[in-house]
Amino acid sequence: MRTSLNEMHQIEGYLLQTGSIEEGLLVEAGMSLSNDFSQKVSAQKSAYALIRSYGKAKLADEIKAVENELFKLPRYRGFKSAIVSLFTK
Amino acid sequence: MVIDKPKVENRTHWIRHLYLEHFPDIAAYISRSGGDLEEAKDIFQEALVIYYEKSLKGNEALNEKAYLMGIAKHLWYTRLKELAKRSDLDQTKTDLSSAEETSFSTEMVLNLIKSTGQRCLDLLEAFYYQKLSLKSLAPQFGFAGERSAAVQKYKCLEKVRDIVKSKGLSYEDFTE
Repeated sequence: MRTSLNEMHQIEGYLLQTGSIEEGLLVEAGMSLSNDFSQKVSAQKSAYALIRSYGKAKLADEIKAVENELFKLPRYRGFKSAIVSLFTK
Repeated sequence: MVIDKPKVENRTHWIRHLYLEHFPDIAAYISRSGGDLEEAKDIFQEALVIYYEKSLKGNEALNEKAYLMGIAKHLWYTRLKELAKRSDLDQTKTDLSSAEETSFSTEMVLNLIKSTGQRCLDLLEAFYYQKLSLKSLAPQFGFAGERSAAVQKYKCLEKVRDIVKSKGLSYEDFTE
């Protein structure tokens, strides 16, 4: 892997706590010495949060698709009417 | 039926199973508590996301039914509390600010998806969110092996990271 990717790997170990203590200390030292490196760490942390948001949204879409299936397909008619009856007063 | 590992190939199956098995009880609870069908669907959806994320961390619920009901009750209680609080505030102001926040995050996410490419984002999502191994992702994404998948994963992450950095976005922009 090229140097920048190795650096990302090292930062990942620190942020996701998958790396060694020594690597973590190196990242912390790098952050205190270089503002540019510090920004990279911060941006990588944001990237993980963004991926998580995307994953959540994708899962929510999948859940909605299943929900649509259960409320629209004729083979789930029994399920649908049982649920709807709970809200009919 | 117990499906304890929501892997990518059976995730839809897993969701369907949970829906058929547990939604009726949760919907009955929401109905008894004064909620409507749409609210019951929302609560169940949120509960499924929480349950999914918990199971990815390897924390299997001993009693799936009780666990899901517990999350749903908590979510419902939180929602009612928020609604009560909101009614004390200026409704219009609150609605406007939340609409602005939503469009800001959504726009950012969409722009990033466009810039990095859908495939790249899917690879990152499969690895970091679904916690799938590079070994299983390599054939799925057409890589020669685990090592190529690892390199590509970091290249994709680098793209996302560079965009985040160039746009001056912070961690808080993507967290709830």
